[in-house]
Amino acid sequence: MSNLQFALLVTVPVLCFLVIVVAYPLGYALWVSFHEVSFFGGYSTEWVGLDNYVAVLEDGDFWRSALLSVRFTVESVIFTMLIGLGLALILRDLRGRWVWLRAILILPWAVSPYGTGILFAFLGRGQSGIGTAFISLFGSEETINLIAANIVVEYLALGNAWNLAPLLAFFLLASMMTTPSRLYDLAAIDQINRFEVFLHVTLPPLRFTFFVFTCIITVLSLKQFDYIFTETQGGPGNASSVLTYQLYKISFVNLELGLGAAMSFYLLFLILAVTLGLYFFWGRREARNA
Amino acid sequence: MARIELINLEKVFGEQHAVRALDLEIADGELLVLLGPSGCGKSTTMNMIAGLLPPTSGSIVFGDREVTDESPYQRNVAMVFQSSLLYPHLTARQNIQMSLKRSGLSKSDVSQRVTEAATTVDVAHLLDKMPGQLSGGERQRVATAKAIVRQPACFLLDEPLAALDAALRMTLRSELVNLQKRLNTTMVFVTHDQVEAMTMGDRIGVMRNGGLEQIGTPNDIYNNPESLFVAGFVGSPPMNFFAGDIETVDGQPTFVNAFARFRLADAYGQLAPRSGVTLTVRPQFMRIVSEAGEGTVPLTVYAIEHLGNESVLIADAPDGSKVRAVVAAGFEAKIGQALHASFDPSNAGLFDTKTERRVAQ
Ligand SMILES: Nc1ncnc2c1ncn2[C@@H]1O[C@H](COP(=O)(O)OP(=O)(O)OP(=O)(O)O)[C@@H](O)[C@H]1O
Ligand SMILES: [Mg+2]
Repeated sequence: MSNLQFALLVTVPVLCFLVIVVAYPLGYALWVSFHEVSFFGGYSTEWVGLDNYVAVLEDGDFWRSALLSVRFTVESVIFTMLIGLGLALILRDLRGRWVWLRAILILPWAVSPYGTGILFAFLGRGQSGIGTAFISLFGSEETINLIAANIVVEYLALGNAWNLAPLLAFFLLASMMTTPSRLYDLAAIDQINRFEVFLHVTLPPLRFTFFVFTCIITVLSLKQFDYIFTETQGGPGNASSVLTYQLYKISFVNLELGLGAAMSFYLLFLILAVTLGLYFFWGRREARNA
Repeated sequence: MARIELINLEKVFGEQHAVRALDLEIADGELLVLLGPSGCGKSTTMNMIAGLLPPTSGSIVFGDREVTDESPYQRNVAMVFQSSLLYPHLTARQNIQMSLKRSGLSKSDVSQRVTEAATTVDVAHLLDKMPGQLSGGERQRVATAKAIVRQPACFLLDEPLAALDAALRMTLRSELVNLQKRLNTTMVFVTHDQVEAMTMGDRIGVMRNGGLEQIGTPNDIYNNPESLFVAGFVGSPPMNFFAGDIETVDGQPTFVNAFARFRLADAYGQLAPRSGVTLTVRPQFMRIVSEAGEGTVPLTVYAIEHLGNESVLIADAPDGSKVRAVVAAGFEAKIGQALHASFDPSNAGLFDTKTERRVAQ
């Protein structure tokens, strides 16, 4: 058997499976997005051309939730990078009997987005939440509700970052281990300051990891749904109804399947555009330097 | 520029004595080579001189100034690391500039000094390349430029040539010596390659198990090794060793073992009989003879290595030890052939097998 034959033998079943579980629903969604589906008086569909796509663009709620999605995503990326880097630096410097903490710190990543949502919903509450607990340490009687309209997106992004950062931390840690320790001696001979050491010695080998994870976390955050669904249900009001939540509402609450399908294609375009943009403006440079 | 003095320097890592009771004085403008096998504490010593590693005890003096507690920068040392380490994402120019980051020099002074240093080691045309785009030799030169740009009190080089091929090492080591002599700056050079040590050093300090085994000029080290370790470590092809005892034969101290006896040189005239000695002879002093006789060793040919201008005969002594002899280029012998070797007793060294120290004449 040639290599090609063997490759076909092992991949053809997988390809068939992928076609069934990905291509079929995608094709069906595309078909639906050009129709109006109604359930009253029996299931019926009507060809409406691009009407659904135009209607989405004319819908103010769509633009509002798209903006929320972008805000949630950008903040998730920033928080994850900062927390992941902080964790990795701490893990790197663990010595002796504290090394086992490295294993413990992967745990937040092991929690499902669904579970993370429930956990952070509980932690964010005004009466019993960590915000209130925190300021009461300083003798305040006030209650701080973290799931409030003006900060709920930031709070969601923080929980999302809590969930994802450990994975990033482990990849950063692995990259840090490849830095020759002699480079730190070189920096000591040059007596460059701590920030310069970070910039010139610690950071360079991490940049590719940062790029890859920016892509991964951007995609994960843009399509994040179950975490937001269990934590805020898009609320309070519609303060956290990001695109995915809006999609869910239109398709499965309002049962406007055609409109929802059209909207989901805009989300797909957004994800593709952002990742391609990241690659063109950042990834190509990192690949060259790597 | 500075004289460097190490006084009773010690470094202990947990259970391990990496450097023990090291006393060493390096003259101003001298090129001292620290030579020793892997793990003997060369890098540890170097790191303490540089100020990268605090000694467990002892002190370090530069000139008249005690620097034991000073940072590398205060000591004004320049260091070149193994495989000529550079910041990998900075250009050669930026790498060299990093040495002057804290110098307080103006921008134009910095760029002038960088150009000067780069010109000195002939890398001015490579300044805008990244380390990854440079060959091993070019990287080594850039690292040297980075070291000399600060006009340091001393250069510390920790096996900078270890990762390069033989031809390049030969070129670069003469370049380094030439540069050190021109700048007349004290240099400490670490290597485990005895040829590098012999060719470069004004003096060589041979290290073993964290201590200084012997220090002296290359000539001293080669011709008058003070211990079996130094005798065996320096020289190529390596030293021949014969184990045996000293007896008095016809009123003369004589080396005796199961298969050979050698009359000792007159310098050993008064030596009393003793057991457990090792006789050393450099392969260059071994002469091959066809007949057994007074003062010969019976040998069985094991291999011949041709070096072009000469050859090295490797043979088995009756006790199974290998004996090497440098022979003329045209020398022919079959594997397994029986031969005999002799040497002038004045070229042999005598050591106590147990203490490994030279036996006094
Ligand atoms: N940071 C450290 N912690 C514990 N032990 C160390 C440390 N650094 C060095 N050692 C030990 O000290 C001894 C001397 O090490 P050192 O690096 O000075 O050897 P070296 O002569 O430079 O060897 P090489 O030629 O292999 O570079 C070694 O046995 C090493 O294992
Ligand atoms: Mg070393």
